[in-house]
Amino acid sequence: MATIIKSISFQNFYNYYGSFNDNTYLFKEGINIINADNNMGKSKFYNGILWILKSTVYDSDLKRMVSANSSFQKMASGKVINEETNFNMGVNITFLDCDSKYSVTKSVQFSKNGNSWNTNEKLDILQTIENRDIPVLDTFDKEKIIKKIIPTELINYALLQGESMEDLVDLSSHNGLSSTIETLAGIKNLIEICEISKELSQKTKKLSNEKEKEINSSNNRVEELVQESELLENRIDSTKTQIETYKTELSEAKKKKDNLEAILLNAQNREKFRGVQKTLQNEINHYKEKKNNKLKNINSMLFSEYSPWILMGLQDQIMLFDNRRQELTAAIATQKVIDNPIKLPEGSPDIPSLKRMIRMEFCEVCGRQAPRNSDPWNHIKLVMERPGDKEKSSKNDFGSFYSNIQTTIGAFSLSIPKIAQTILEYREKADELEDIIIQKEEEKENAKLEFLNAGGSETGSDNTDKQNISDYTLAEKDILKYDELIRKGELSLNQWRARLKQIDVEIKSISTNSEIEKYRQFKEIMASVEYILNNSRERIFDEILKSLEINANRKYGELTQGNLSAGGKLSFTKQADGTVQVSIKNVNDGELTGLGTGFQRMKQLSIIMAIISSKIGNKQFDYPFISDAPFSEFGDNFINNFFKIAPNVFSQSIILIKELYDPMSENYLNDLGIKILKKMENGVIPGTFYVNVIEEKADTTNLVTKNKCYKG
Amino acid sequence: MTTEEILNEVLQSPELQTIYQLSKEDLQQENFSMKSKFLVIEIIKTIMTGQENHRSKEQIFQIIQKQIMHL
Repeated sequence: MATIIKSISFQNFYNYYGSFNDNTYLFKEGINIINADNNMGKSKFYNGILWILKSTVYDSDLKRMVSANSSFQKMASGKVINEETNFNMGVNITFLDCDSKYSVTKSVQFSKNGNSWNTNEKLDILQTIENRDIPVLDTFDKEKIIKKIIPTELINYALLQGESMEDLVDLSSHNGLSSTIETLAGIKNLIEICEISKELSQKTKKLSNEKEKEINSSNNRVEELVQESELLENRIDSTKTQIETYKTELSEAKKKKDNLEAILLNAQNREKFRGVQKTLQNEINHYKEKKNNKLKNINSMLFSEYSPWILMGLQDQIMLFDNRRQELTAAIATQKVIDNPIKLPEGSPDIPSLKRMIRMEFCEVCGRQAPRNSDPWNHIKLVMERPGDKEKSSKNDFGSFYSNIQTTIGAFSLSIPKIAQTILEYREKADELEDIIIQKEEEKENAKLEFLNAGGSETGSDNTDKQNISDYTLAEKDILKYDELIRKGELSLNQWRARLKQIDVEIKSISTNSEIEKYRQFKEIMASVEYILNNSRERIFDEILKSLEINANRKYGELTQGNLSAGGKLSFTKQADGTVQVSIKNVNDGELTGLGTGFQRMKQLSIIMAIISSKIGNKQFDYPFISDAPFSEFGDNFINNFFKIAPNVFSQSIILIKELYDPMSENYLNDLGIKILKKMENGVIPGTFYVNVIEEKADTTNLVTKNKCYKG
Repeated sequence: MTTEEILNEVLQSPELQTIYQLSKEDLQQENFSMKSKFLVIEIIKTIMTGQENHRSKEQIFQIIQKQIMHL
């Protein structure tokens, strides 16, 4: 029958000011909720239980567990310390265990001595037998009774504070789950029975051998056989130990191989994406170089021979220049007229034409011969050598200079309007290259992600794969090696056991003394008892494990029911050495990682609940499950699911919670709190419902917590 | 597991039938409170009770020795 806490009372304990009667919580089987806001006594309540069970309390200032006797003054109500010079502080738990009722009270008597306090701690236990309270006086008996509330080995599973839920089962250690199964499924006592039977069996073998030697002291052959038998027994023992070590090594090698197998399966993908990354990097380098060259080209484009960008926007300036040049030409012409009275009519030949006419002795104006020194020839010469003309044309006349500029820029008059468009096209080309580079970088990043997803290492080189292959080969060799060693070891064991049987037969045939026969029988029975008990233990463990995966997933499903995010599937695998590995698989049977804290805690809780549900016999936890702020990382859905299924697993749970509290509401309950309370009132959830309140606003020292019972 | 539950599991051991030739019917009648007519079962019960009552191994050994040697 399960242990059920009937009540917990406080006297001047932290916020719980006043007598035990003023601060009593009555509990039932099922769920007992104490709903309280921060600083309203949840952790103080939990500390009361810790004090009784472990003589420790959690010091919220130091943020660690401390010995209760070093913290008495902090544990006492600030209000009573201010008001009284002599008072008692205490915690009382009454509980039922196998139809016996017990009342356990731990208290401290405080008396003021000057500025300090004298304290005296007491432990009083009453056992109620046939309605009579009988004090328990023996210290050893008192300890035994306290352990009835929650046995020492179960305290870590039965007393939980929010964060500790993540460490409920040590899934990281080699045999963490096996140890939890053994504890929670209650097979620790069976293991102990097996160990006792093993020792007894060894003892009887020794005793039997001694008797054989004693009774047959004159028979050398018996002595020889007994010695051989002892030698073989020793060998069997050491080989068994050796085989256990080999099994552990084998299990490690298999685990390593499995891990590497998963990595190597992706090696092809890694190789592919390693290549893709390299190709893309080459392309990126190519486009970056192209872009750089284009940018370097800007200088030459600024001073390009055909379309210099530096002239952009100077189109109007060409026209302006042309106008100015024409104005200058006109001005020069006007200046010549002023300086030279010999004015030639319009259409007259220029100087080169006149020079040619003199040389050819022919007037091109009238089309007649003009022989040297003739009048027409002399007239042409006179016109050509008319005074002042040469001097004027060479002095301050920039006509030809500006003409040259005009000729040069004239060529640009068509290209300058196109410069803006050329620059735009140039920029588009540069942007295009930049876009290609960005796109290639993205492709490379995706390839890198694929590479990492395939088990590649960001820091690792190609050598990592080579190392993995080498490790894989090594693991395979180790598996073969340890398999062979185990096989050989077991073969030897069988041979030695067979030889031991032969020795037994031979000794029996030599010595037929009736006295020794009893010792032989003793030895044989103890050997077979050891064998039977060990096989039973293994069978029970295997049965629990078989149902564990189903139960754990059922519980996990129930706890996470209604959650939008899927929490995966729990997978349990028995290792070669008998230990159990647990992992969470996704829909594709791959390892599921990155689950939030809520899911992680639910996973732990599911395993605990599943182990309890997989027990042989009573499939409930036989002790109170007491938890302070277990739901700090859980949403409403998780909380609701927990309240729904917890009564099926824990005979009694006491949950200190703030997630149902609403300080603004008249009854201090939020919607979820109201919903849960209704379910309790309707009997859907068995148990009690308390709300802690502060009647008078005060600082932490003078804070007084009172409880309101909504469902008793 | 209670000692009763452990005994029930042990009684299902095939070895009791193969080594000690106990029939299923015999085994079904066994329980913790009644003395068994089979020595091996009585010894198993002695070890379980010894463990439950925190007896030393030497004490358990002595009890079993008496059970066997005084037959």
